[in-house]
Amino acid sequence: MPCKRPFRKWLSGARILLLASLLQMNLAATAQTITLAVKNASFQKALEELRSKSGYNFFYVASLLENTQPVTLDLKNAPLKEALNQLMKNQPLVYEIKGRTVVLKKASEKESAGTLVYAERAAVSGQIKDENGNGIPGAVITIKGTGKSVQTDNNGRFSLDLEDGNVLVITHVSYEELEWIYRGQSTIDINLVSASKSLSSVIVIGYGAIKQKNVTGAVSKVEGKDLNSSVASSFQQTLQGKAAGVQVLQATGQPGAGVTVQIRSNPSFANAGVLYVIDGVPVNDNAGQPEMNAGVGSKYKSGGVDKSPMNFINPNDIESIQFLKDASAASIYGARAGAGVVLITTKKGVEGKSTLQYTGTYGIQRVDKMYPVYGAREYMTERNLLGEEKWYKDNKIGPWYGSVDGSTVTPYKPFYTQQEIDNAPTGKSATDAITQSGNTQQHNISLTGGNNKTKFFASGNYFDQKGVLIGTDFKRYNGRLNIDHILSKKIKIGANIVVSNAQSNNTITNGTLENGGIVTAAIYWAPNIPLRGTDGSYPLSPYYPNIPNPLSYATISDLTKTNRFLTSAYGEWSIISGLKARAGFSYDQSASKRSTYFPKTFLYGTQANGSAEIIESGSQSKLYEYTLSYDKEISAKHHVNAVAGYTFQQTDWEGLNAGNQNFLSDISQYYALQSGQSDKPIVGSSKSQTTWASYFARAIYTFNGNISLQASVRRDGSSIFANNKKWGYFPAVSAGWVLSDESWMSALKPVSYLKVRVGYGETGNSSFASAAFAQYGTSLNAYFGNNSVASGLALIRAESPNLTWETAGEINVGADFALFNNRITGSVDYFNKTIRNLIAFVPYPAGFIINGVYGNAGKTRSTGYEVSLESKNIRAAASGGFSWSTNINFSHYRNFWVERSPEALKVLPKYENEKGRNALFTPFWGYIAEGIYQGNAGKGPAQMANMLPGGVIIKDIHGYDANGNLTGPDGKITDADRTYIGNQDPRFIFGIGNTFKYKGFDLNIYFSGVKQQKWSPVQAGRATEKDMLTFGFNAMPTKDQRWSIKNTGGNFPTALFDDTYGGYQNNSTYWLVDADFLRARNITLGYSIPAKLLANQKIFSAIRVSFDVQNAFTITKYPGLDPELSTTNYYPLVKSYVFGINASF
Amino acid sequence: MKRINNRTLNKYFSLACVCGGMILFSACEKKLDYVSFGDLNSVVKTPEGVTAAVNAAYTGLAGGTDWQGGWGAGTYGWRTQAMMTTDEGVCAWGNDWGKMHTLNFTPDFDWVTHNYTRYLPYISRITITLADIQTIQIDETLKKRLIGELKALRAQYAEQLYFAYGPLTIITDPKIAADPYAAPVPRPTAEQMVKQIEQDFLEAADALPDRFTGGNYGRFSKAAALTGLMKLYMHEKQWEKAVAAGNKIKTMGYSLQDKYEDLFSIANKNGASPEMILAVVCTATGGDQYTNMWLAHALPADYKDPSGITLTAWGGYKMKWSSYDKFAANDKRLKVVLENYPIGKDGSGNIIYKNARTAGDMGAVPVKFGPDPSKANSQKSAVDLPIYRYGDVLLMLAESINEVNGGPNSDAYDAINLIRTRAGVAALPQGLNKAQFLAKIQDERLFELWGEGWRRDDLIRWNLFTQRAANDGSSTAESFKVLYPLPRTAVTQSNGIIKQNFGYN
Repeated sequence: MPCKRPFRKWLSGARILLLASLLQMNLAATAQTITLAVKNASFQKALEELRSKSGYNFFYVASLLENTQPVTLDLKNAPLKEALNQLMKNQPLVYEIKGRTVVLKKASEKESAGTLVYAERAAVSGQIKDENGNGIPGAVITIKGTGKSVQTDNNGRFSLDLEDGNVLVITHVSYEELEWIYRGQSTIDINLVSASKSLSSVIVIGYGAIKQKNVTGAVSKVEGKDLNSSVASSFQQTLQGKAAGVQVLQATGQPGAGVTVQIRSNPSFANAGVLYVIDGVPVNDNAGQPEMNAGVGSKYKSGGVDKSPMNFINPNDIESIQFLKDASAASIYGARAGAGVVLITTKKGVEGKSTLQYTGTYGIQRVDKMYPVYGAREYMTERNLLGEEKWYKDNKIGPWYGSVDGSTVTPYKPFYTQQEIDNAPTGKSATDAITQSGNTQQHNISLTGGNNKTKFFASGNYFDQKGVLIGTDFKRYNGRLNIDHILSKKIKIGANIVVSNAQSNNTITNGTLENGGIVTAAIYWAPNIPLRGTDGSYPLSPYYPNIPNPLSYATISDLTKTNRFLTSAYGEWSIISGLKARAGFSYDQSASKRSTYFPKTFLYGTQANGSAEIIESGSQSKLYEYTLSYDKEISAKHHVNAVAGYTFQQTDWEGLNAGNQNFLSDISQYYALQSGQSDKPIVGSSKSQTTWASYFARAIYTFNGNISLQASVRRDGSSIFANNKKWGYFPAVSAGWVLSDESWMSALKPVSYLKVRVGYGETGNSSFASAAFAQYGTSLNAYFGNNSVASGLALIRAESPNLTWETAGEINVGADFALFNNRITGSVDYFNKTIRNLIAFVPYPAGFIINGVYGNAGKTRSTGYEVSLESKNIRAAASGGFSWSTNINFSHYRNFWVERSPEALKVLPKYENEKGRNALFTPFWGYIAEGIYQGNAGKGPAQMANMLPGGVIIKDIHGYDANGNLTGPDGKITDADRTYIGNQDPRFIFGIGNTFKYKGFDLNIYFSGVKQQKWSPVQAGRATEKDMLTFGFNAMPTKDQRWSIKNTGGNFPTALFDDTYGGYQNNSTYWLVDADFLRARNITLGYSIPAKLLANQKIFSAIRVSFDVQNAFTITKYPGLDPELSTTNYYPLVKSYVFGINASF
Repeated sequence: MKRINNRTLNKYFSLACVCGGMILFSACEKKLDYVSFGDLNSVVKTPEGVTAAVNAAYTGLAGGTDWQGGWGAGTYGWRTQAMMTTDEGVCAWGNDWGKMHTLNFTPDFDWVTHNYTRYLPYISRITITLADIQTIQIDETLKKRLIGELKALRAQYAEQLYFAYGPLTIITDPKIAADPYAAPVPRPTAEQMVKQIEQDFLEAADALPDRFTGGNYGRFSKAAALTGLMKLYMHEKQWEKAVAAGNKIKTMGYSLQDKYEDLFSIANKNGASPEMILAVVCTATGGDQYTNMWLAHALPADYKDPSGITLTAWGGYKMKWSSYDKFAANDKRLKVVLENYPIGKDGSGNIIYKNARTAGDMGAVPVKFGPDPSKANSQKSAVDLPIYRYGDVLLMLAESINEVNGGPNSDAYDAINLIRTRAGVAALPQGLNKAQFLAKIQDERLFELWGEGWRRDDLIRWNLFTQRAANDGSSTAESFKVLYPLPRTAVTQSNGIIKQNFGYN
């Protein structure tokens, strides 16, 4: 060893430069640039300065400095390399940076100085950091070839005995795997690159997990940390636009409300929605939100009150979410996977020091966009004008409505005098009066830890939201405990317990006229009438006193309490290497109770002298699951992963309701139902059961690490199907090939990664809220004598002896890629899904004893594509440097009929397409508008000669012949002129996220958008003869100038109702408008307090603060309402300003 | 070597255990049987089941699952349809109500096609129950009565359908009635359908007691069956048979109630009225079917009942001024159809009235029914909904006699004058000829029976139905509109074997 001598010399000599102390190193390690000024200093002094400023160690043999020249440096914020270059200028030396050490060598010396480093094994400490320089807890560092590994603590630190040349493999689920060669440093600092699309990350695929690289189906993964749950009661609300092909529909902003998560689409009538599987337990069976079903409450049923069954999961507990989008991936869940599967993996305990973490958020909320209405003066003026227009029409005054001379009839008398209008109140509108400023707060504590035997994760969550409509709130308490224990070398056991309780005061929102809720009542409210009486009473509109006072809705009691208790446990037995048997059991109990009271301050309460009802629903679901799995590297090139199993799930459902009316006082609310004096108090109950049994098997074979073949089959049985039709088979095959691993691809430099995938699979659907068996019911009861009920008995469901599974077969072709040194990564997928044996209500001939039965008939198809891209626009030049990355996802689908049943064809209107790409599954129906008629009475277009002026002209496209077949234009407007005018499904759905990071700051701006058409809310919401004039309802102002006798050039339809054509006009393309929108869903600014500021205290190990604006703004042309909200007067969506803190202890 | 063997054995043993376990679990497949809690299928062919099926057969009188259908006050209700398509009334709500008044009917207009799909199933279910009841061991008297009730109900539903749609097939074979795949058959002739209705009513009349009281009030009696039969004969212009049926009813102890307005009040509960032959028994606290919501439809929004009872008032139904103006000023029946209606009280407790005509309303307020004093619900009332009453029978008898005789006789005068006397108007002058007498009957039926569901049939019988609409300016009052169209699907589902009514396509 030629270097040994100088090394010894170095050790013994006093002139050598010693390695810096650990503390110095760590403090300096974050230094990015160097500012240094020396004049004519010795090289050694300059070197000392540079060492202390940079935090780098300098490694050299003292004798090397003998021939160095004095140095003059003037560096300002210079990178280390530049500093070194200047220092070395004209010196007989060269340098080499190795990790955190600068090694100096003779300019002539070719051999690396690497051999100079320590030969001994040494305890080395280090830190694993992310791109921002923050420690990564839970990363696993393994010394390759030894099996020795440690995990980083909460600050990302670790210590390990290492020898020079050891190869460290650092893995973490959220980061790119890294191999790193140890070269004798006394401390190690390693930065990992975060990897939302990391190829080495593990993907949960149902009954197992594989590396992303080996995935063959269309599977999207979203990390828990990327979900913004600061104001979300359920994780579903945070998924909007997070993954290509995943659509989130939010119909209402009611606190705690559910949203519909749709994966691709599922043109099926038996649409159960996606299957949610939490740590292996399907949780779709649950109590659900009870509906009011008798007495006054039957007017409302749910009343737009909705509670997500997923509220029981604390979003903060979620480690990751996987969407199994295509059938080849989802088919392992067989009959319940027809609409796609969402696999949720919760956080588990990790080995190492226990960590306590607290997250808190507080936010204020405002109505994002309230329903617009006229102010009192505009309302009164408008109503006067409507009355005048109607007077013209009723008296057939020319030239617009006939030929009568207006001066010959009784003159028009306005509703309101100018003085009344001038004196009208100008206070806030009723729609504003029902709002309040809301707020949310959330406190989340988690404790995690463990040793090599036992790991645990415990968390508690409190979520509290005050709604933005009066009288609404939501509170949730949630606790979770997860334990994994290694019993022996071969046996591992674990258990998981989730307990959740939620309470929510609701308000009824949607509906029309008398059946409307608070929003409907507020829209209708005549603004010239005071909302409260001087005595505090709730007056009714004198024009139409059948609708409750909007503010009186807040005096209703409507409380939903939900409890859920989910337990699961498993045992795993490693039988031989690679072969594992696992048994799991879960018990899932949920209960939901809605307690309502309509007091005498509320119109319908007055009418019934107080009306109370309590409705309860509950479910208990038991699941047994047994699997046998085998995972083995057979040889260097062949890897097999296989699983087979059996599951059995049985759910019992129960319902109970009781109600009474006619109470002495509102004070008793729903607390004493027996005190009501209704002659027929309400009682009801229900019970049912569903049972599932399934066998499944899957094998994945991987060749050479880059070609994967996967095949699976599931056999599902369900109690609801006919006796000999209970079982169905759901097979799937798929393959993936990482082309970029092939040598012939290496020439293609810009492509750093390319995988192609293709798969076919079948999934089922059985959720149609019915069964294949005949049922007699007592719903038809008669009354005789003095109102005594006589039970009736009638067939309410016929037997459907051949009813069986609906099956969806789906082809998916996709590619995953990374370009330009991973700067752009992404994937594209195309799918074609055909649903056969559609479970559909097959109509019996009109007049048969029941309307029809559920049967298997017809075929639908959904085709579409998805693109997701991630671009690292600017990568951090150094740790903590500025970085910018962009995520884009984009998807499209189209649903249409491929085949209809003979029964369906018989009742299919002739104007509807039977099949093909234009036979849309969910079209908009209507009539084609051809502009506004601006002429006079009796001179309208041929097909609508007598139409009112200012009306929408409808195109005559068809007529009926004597046999009911379509003919060409018949000169009349009839139902035959109805046609497809649009697609209710969105054209495109997309999400765009931008993340900026600099030092401790991170800024995330997230947009999502939809390209779609919707009915204009203006059609029903505008001022019309029927609503504003007749009933005195308020209405929605419009930008456009409406046609009237005072404005005969108006380009917006008349407010008068055309008895002959009104029905057609209101369903015409005139009212089908663009509802495209781009919504700034959240803008989040976060700051992580630098570690060095926390170093001097012992309480916190990390602190991050954040400020977040949700629903910041929306760009849309959609008139009046929020384009995302349902148009039927639901609870408005909210805008939130949220402050958050996350502290680790 | 031995060691290896043991390991291999162990391995296979473990595998066998696991596989064996899996097979054991498959025993769970047996648990896939469907469990229906509270399954009533086994009750169908028991005495309780058959009795309950008879009860269910009655629900069509209240519209079945429809909202205020049957003899209720809603869109599909017979009384509403008879009012809105004739000179009786109009509706202020516009929209499709306008189509009703102008007879703008098409096979796609659900308001007029709906009842086809509502009542044919009642007929088939009754046919099935009639077969089931034969298999049951129950008291023969009760059995006979239940069969009579079923036949009367079947005839009643068939008659209403016949009046609305013309001849339709009444399925009398229980096997066909229960078979959704039974081959469609062409529509029968009017004679065939009339014969079946007549036979059912006659057999029912034979089996049923004259009238029901107490707990059975609301069931089909002999008098009710004969009233239904009389309406059929009149529709078919079989005047002699109509007179015979009317005369039979006259012998069954019915008489006019003293006050017209009491007929439609809570005083008639439990069959207290001497006049009511068949009614739908109503409750204020049940669902939306067996309840009376007429007032909610008919009262103007600012109506305040002088009794102080809060009433829901949607302001829809009106009696046309042209019809209102036909009433004699002293007609007591104007107590329940108002030009001036109460809107509250002044400081000294005097009722304030509002004049509907000068306020610009489309018509008078057709109050008809008294409020429910129980105040159990402002929208739902327990006042029974009349179907058949003796007053109607008297007027039908007078008309039939006039037709049979070619002019009125003293019986005919007596019948109509009983009605007029109660109303406080003068008796008809003697010596009217047939046409003059008929004209008087035509007006009297409007004054007496408006809002009770008969005006459409009356106008059709007098050949005035489409004429009325044409006179009111309708451009869609073609003569074929005397029948409603069948739903379009009824024709397409039968591959055209069931023909649409003439004129509709």
